[in-house]
Amino acid sequence: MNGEEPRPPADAAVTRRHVLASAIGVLSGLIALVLGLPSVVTLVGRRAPKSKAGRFMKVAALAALPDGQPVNLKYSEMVEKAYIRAPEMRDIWALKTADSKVTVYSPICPHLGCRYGWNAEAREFMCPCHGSVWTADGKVVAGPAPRPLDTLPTKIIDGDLYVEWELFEVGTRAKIVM
Amino acid sequence: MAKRLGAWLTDRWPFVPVWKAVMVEDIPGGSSYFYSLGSAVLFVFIIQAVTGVFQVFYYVPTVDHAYDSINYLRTQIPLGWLIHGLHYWGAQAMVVLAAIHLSQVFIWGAHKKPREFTWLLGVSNLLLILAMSFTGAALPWDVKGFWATEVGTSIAGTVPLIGDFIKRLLRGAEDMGQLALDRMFATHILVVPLLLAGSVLIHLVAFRRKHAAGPWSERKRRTTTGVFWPDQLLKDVILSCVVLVVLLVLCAWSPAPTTGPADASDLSVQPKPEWNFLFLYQFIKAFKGPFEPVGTVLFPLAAVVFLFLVPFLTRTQERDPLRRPLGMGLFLAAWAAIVALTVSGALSHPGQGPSAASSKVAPAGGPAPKAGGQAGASEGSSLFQSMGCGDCHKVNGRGGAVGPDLSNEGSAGRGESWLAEQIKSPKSHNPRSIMPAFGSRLTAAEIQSLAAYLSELKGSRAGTTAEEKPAVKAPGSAGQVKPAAPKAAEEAAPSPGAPAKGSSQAMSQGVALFKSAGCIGCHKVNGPGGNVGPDLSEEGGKRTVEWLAQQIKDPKSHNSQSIMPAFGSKLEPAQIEALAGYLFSLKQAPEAGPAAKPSAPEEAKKEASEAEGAEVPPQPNVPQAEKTPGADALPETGPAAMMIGDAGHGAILFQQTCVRCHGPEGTDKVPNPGSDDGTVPPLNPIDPDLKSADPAVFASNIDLFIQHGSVPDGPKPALRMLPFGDSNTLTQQAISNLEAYVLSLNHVDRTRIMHPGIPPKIFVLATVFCFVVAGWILWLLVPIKRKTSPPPRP
Repeated sequence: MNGEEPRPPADAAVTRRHVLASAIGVLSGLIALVLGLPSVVTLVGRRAPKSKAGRFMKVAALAALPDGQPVNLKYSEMVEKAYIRAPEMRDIWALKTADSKVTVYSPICPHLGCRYGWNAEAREFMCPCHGSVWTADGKVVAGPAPRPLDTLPTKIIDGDLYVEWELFEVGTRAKIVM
Repeated sequence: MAKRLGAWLTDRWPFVPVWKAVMVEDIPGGSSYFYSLGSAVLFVFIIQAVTGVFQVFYYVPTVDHAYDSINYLRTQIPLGWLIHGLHYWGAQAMVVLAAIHLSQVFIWGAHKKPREFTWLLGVSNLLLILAMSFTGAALPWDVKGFWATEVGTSIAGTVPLIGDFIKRLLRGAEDMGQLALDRMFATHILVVPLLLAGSVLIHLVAFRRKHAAGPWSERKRRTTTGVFWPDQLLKDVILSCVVLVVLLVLCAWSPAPTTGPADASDLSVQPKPEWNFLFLYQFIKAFKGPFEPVGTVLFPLAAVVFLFLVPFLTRTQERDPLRRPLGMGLFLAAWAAIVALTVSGALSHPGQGPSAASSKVAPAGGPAPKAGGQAGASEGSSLFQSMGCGDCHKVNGRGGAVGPDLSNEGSAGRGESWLAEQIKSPKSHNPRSIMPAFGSRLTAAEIQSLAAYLSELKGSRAGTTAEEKPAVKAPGSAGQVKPAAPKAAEEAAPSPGAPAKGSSQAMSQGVALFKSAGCIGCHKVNGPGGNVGPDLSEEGGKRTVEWLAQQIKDPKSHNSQSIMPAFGSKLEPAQIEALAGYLFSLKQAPEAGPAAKPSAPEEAKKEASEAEGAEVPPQPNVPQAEKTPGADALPETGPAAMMIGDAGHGAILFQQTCVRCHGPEGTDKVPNPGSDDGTVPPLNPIDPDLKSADPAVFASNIDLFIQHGSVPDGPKPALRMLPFGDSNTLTQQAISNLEAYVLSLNHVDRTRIMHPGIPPKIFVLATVFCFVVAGWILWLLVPIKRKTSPPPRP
């Protein structure tokens, strides 16, 4: 370790330096692992727990909905995300048929998550992002959408429409609840 | 391939020269672990940078989310506890290691010519590290950080002439709020780290420029030489491993404390700085009044300037510490002072200082305070009366019996500073004290006068009366209660909460009695009053008039733990009835009816029976909005349910607020006549339906009750849970602390890490195992080679 000792043969010195250098390498690698791995794991985080099912929210009076014409309805719901509990605005598409049955669509395009709109003239739903088109009853007419519009669970109680908000995987052929 | 890539790269970037500049360095006297201290500081700085960056992915610098966001990272994100814990403990380690490094450099005399500039940068680094410590403490917006920042920035405000300007610069506003948090955040993650990184880099360049100083012994320096690469660097890395392991062990076995969310309105908090500022905190206490800036600003500034000038104060090149008696003497004295101040700061409770020693000794046997002996004593005497101290404390035979007799307090040897602190914050001396804290209601001068007055009370307890000693005029007390005279009735209307004018004679008598019997000493009514007992501003809405009368007569009949004095023997039945009638008339909103019209006891009785017969609300009183038929709406918990409170502080709040109905530690079955159960539900153990192993769920379950209150089932429950959250009686922060305490009573830790990824202790043990195995293998290899092959001279 100190210079008092006689100069060693070159190969021995190289061996010793290699051992010390390897020691530095091994220990530094361990340190990097101990710091790096948790950092990455922390960044990946954790999948949020599935939202509690059965939270039906009142959206509108059934009588107020026009027949055969999809309408965009907005309502507020108290939502708990991570450490924040706050009201969140939702919007849904509701279509009442002549027999007073109601179908409610999630407003999210099943292709890549854009918000689609209703073209009253063409009587079609159209997504502005990639041009997917659906009929009023949600069937795919054109575009890259992999599946029909996603319907949401509904209830009619005392003449009022209640909707349960759900999120679905996008880009998949099957409708998978997130 | 690798060679070609290496050649390609070195052709384009000066790897070899940079490597040589960093690694090739002679170490006079050979390598040493002492020289690794600087590298250890650098290593911790790297830990802080890494963990800091990853915390920012979760941390939200807003006053309403900062605390929750950091707790979310800690408890809900896998290994988040480690990132947060390493940053917390790394911050402490950095201060310690920097201080040790600086000391080592001084002892070795390595700061002397030609390394003065390296020293200057080292001192700058230390100051920047302290700045990181200060600004970082504010970021969780917890109790400790909030007060540290409040006081720290206020100290800056004491600088003569420019204090306000500096304080504004630090806070961005007049008070501690969002703008202050923004400033602390930006300073902590951008400004100071950049300055520190730059300063560290210049420090290292300066160090390389003038080379390592080596040992102080000239002979050793000449005869022995080591090399930085790989000898010294290996020692640096080994010390870094040790530091990392220590930090990991601290993370697992002593996690960063949860001090509860910041709550400026919580008077039961005793702010104390982080340990590394304790010496300053303690030091400042020695400077009072106009001299305060000497302790807060002048002396620290002088100390910093002195530290900067250290290398320039002597011209001698002597480095041997034994031959530098003056320098080493000063150095040791400074360390001794810092250690002593830190320890005494840690042990002291505010104001408890050298009480007995400094207390003024009055002539023995003097039964009464000396007239004018203390400037503030006479003022203190009148304050003693006006503040209602006498309602709880006896002086020379007169006064209440709730608190101790103070007739001879001056001989107790406590001293004025102790007494002042007791008045300001009784819990600092005894966490279980029920005495109200007057720190927020009296000025410092008033507290001092009261303390001066009390310290002069050296009268004999027997045989002296207040009348004989006018200076100790005893205040109005239970013993003096008489039927209120009309004049008293006029004076006594205590607050806007008093019934409207034109009330019956009984009502006026009740109003007067409320003050003259000393009720106001412990109870608030719409503002004025003490806070020993509950606020009675809306008492009429909660109890029946009979219950109130019984409570005045014999409080223990409702709650065996009640500390309220029984007035059954001190007041006549008519007076008790008048007082109960007055209290019953205290109701919240005019539209509620009874509050608007003062009700005589008989009317009150009728109203009470009507009102209570009608209401059978659910338990808890969850607001009906948003409830959807056939669906489980999210219960309307308050923000407190999401906050991780501090159980320790919750215990204090519980003592102040909840113990009357739930008993000490929530164990008592306090009688609740008129309810089906007959008692207040105990909290320890709590109803199993409310309990959950998940602290967030458990807290939410009890939060509903604390926020909205509840009415027990039964025909006429005398006691009902008040809506502490809805009525703003308690802040959300206070509620979160109470919830944490109730959880702890039921063996559930509110701070529990719900998603650790890997359990902390297992993670640390596994890591330590890896280090030990790697170290052991390397140990086997290195000495063998050492014997046969000593290092070459570079």
